[in-house]
Amino acid sequence: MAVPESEGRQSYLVFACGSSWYAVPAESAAEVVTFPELTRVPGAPAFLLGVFAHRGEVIPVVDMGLLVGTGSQSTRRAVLVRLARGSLALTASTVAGVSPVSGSLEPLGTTGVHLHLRGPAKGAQRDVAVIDPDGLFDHLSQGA
Amino acid sequence: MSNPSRIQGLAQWLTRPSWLGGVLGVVLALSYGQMQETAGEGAWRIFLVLAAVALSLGLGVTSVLEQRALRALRAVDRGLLPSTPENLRQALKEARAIPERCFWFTLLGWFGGALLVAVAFPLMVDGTWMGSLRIIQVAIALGPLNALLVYLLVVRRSRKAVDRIAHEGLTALEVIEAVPPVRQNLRRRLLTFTAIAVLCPSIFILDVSISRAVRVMDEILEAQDRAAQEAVVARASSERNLSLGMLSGFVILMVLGTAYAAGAALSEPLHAITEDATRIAKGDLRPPWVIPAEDEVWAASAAFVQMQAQLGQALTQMRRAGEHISTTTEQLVATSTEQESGADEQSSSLNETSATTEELARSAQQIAGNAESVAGIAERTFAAAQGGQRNAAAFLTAMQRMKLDNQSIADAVVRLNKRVQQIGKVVEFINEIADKSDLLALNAELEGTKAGEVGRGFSLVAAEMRRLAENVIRSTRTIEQLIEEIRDATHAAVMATEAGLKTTEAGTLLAAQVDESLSLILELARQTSHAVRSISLATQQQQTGTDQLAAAMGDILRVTEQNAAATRQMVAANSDLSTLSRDLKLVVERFRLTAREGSP
Amino acid sequence: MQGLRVSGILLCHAGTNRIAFPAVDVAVIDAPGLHAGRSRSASVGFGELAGASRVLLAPSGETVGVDTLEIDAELHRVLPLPAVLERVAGGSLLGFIWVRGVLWPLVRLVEFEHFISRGSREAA
Repeated sequence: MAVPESEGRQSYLVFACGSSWYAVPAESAAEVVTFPELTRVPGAPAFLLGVFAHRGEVIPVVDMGLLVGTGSQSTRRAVLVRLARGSLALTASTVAGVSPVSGSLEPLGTTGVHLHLRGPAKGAQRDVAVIDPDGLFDHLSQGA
Repeated sequence: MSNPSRIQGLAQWLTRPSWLGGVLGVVLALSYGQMQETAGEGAWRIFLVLAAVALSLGLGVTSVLEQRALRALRAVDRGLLPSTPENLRQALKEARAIPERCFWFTLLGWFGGALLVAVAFPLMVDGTWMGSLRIIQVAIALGPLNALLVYLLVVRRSRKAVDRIAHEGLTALEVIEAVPPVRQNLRRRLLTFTAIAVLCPSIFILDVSISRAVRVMDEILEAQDRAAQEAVVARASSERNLSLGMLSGFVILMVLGTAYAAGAALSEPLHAITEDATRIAKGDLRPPWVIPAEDEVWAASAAFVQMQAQLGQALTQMRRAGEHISTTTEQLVATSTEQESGADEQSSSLNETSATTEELARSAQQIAGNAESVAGIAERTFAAAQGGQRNAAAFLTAMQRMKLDNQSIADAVVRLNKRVQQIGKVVEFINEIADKSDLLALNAELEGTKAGEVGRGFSLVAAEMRRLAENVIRSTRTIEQLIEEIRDATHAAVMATEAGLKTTEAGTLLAAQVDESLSLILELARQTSHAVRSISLATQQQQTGTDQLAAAMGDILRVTEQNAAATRQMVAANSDLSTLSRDLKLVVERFRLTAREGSP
Repeated sequence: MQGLRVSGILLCHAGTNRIAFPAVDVAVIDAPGLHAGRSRSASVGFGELAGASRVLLAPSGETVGVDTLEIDAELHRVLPLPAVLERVAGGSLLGFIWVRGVLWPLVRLVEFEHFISRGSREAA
């Protein structure tokens, strides 16, 4: 997977889920949505809260806290990440906004989802973990 | 034993003058006889002899009589008898009586002697009886005078003897007691004395003169002539003048001497009395000493002595009384002071007690007040407890009724349960059927759907049937729900009943407990009432007691004040007493009492 | 599958969850009494444990229990499965259908039964 070195050229949508801050490439981030009651999906992992219909599309909602292991965060807000292969909503308790992120984009972990969290980086005066959407998608697609 | 030098030979000494008197008288008689008689020498000698015989006889008889008269005195003065007061008193009496006795003895001796001579002489010389008469006349003339002289001499000596005998062991008062002044014969004595002092010499001189005159007359008559008569007269006037004068003078001297002795005898005791009185007036009160005297003077002396004794006693008593008063006064002062302070203390403590009593009274009132309120509370409590008891009883009745009700409810519930069970079974049955129907319909609908368009109608019917079945199921469910509700209700009812039973039981228990408690409260209330009444009574009593106490204290206070007043008076009186005793002491000290009267 | 349409769906509830099966997957709807012990509730797929009042019997004999079910004969469009959900539930998930205003996961009965059986076994 290509590891783009961010030199502050790309803008990210910086958001927080709980106390952790993340940054997702702005081009991937479609919108910030407020999702209604979710339909649960059978056989889905715990961090997959469910799905909801958004403009005729079924969007799965992933709890970032549960995903990274920090704990569930109750929120009705999510960041809609749209890629060519599909869409994904990541729960966000706070959305800081779009800002450049600087720092390295090395994987923050060696296993699981952390491979796809990059950093350490700073965006919007915060330490953020930059999310690699593709990687995330891959990770999510595998585990089931 | 008494001092022998004092009264030894007192008796003899006492009667010695009688000898003197006797001898003097005889000498006088003889010289007279010698002058008068013209008898011869031989007659004269016979006369002398007779006179001597008469004299010795008279003296002997006199002395014998005197000895007998002074029996006790002689015994005492010779030591034959002890000097006991009894004997001394006897001696005293004899000594006092002796002067008069000597008088009579002397007189007796004279007359006896004279008689003897008068009788014997004429016989011996063949003289005429005229001579005897003359002798007797002389005896009458000179005898009393002589006796009087002897008496007076002996009186003086007897006084001294009395003094000496008294000194042996009798006090003045004992002397007075032994020889009380009974006979007041001063006037008689003076009369006698005057008679003798006047008559005797008169008779003597008369006799001398008459006899001489007779003789001269006889001689004159015998003489023939005038010259012889004149010679006789001259002879008479020259011869015997001197001797006659001397004789007369001697007799007069004797009379005067007697008079002097009499005067001395009278005045001596009076003088002594005066001296003593003056001494006493000066303040020298010695123990009284007897001043012997006779008759009224003896009475005066005795009275004086008694007065002295009394005075001495009185002064001694006064002094003792004064001392006693002094000591008593001091004690009284001390006691009064103590009493005063005691009275003060009493007063203050009484005040305290008074205050305490007031506090007592107040507290008693408070207690009474509290008791009253407690009584009120007890009353209310009593009433409330009674009311409570009534309520408890009513409650109990209700409980029992409820119990009965509960029982009937329980029975009804049991019956209901049975019914419900039955209904339940029926419903279950229906449910089963409905369920089966529903299932059937469902499957039918499924097939119809799977068949697609063709089975649409079928599906619809099946759906309809399903709905029916669902309705039934819903109804049954409703019924089940109802049954459940009933069950719940009945269960609740049963629970309630059980609870109610429990409650009833608990309620009954409670009621019983309440009743018990109420009974207790009632009892307590009753006891409280009792106690309150007792307190009330006690308080009243205490009140009465306190009132009485207060009254008593008031009395005590009054008495104390009176006491204090009396004490103050006593103190004042004491000071007066002190002054008095001091004055008394001063008065007594004026009389220097010798140590002798310190003895009782 | 895009553009999939399905008519005849069994709209089921399993516990609090919704799950839909194609009608063709089900041979018979049975009462649970007939399949006691053998059928598992669809709620197992949701990680829950619930009973079942109806049992869906597949033609091949697999059974899955559900609580309630409705049969909807209408034709419904199946919304495509999000990419990340392709592998869930052992691949039994076909997609989602929008019926009566809510999304229903459309699941193949047999695959689902296999999935929940596997899950049960793994869990055991």
